[in-house]
Amino acid sequence: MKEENNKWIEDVFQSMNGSRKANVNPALFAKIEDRILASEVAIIPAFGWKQFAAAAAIILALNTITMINYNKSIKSNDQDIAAIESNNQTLISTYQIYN
Amino acid sequence: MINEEEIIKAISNGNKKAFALLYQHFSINVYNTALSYTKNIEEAEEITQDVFVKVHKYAASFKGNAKLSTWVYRITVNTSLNYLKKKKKFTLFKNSLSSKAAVDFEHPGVLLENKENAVALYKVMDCLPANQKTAFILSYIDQLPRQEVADIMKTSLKSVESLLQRAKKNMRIELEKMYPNRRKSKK
Repeated sequence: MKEENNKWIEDVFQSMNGSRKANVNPALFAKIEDRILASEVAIIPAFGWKQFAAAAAIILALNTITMINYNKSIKSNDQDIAAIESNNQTLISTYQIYN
Repeated sequence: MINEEEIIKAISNGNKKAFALLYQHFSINVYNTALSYTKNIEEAEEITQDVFVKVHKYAASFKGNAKLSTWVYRITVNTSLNYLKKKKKFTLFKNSLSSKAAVDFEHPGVLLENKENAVALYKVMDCLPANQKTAFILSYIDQLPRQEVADIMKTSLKSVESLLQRAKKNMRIELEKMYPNRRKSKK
């Protein structure tokens, strides 16, 4: 049985002897050509990417400055509002309409 | 017989006829090697496309240090192995049943009397690590001379012989597990 086993194993190793090659799909070459063409057209110039990165950096910087200034203006507004309210209180307390 | 230097130079200059000629010359070998790795027609076609796109892209960098066929085979082997690596990562997350369905591969060109044995061969090749599988495919399935296999794998003839020995030993272990079931099915 061992001999039979060994013979079978050797037959398996040699099983592709005499086989013919599988045929290639005839449509494959056209697909390859299309892919090559697509890769040649799709090249984006590095110049474009640098511009995009620069624009993004500028927008981010502007947004940051705007946010900082906005926060400052809110604080000064709060102080102004507090001053106005205290003045109003004085006005209201001193102004008697139906006196 | 194509003039390798001329054809590669022509391809790197954008000559479409030269590229078509190279494809005509090598496509069947590239496709069949890829088929031995993937055991799947669609995947082998995908790899074949990848190989020739790379050949076109890197034609200018081919220095002529090796034969053109060696260079094309190298790209084929590397592309096939990378494909299998990516596929393995992806199938870890897939249902194991769907991957088992693809195991019994019948090569379309095998002789009728060898069909069953060839199915067993492709099944047990899955157990081999990349370098042993490559040595076995190029030697026993593509039937390339051992020295050419060594050139493709950028190793020595002795290393190839050693890889083949280990490959056969590993496959023998798997085949011996299969043998009792084979005897039962023959009765």
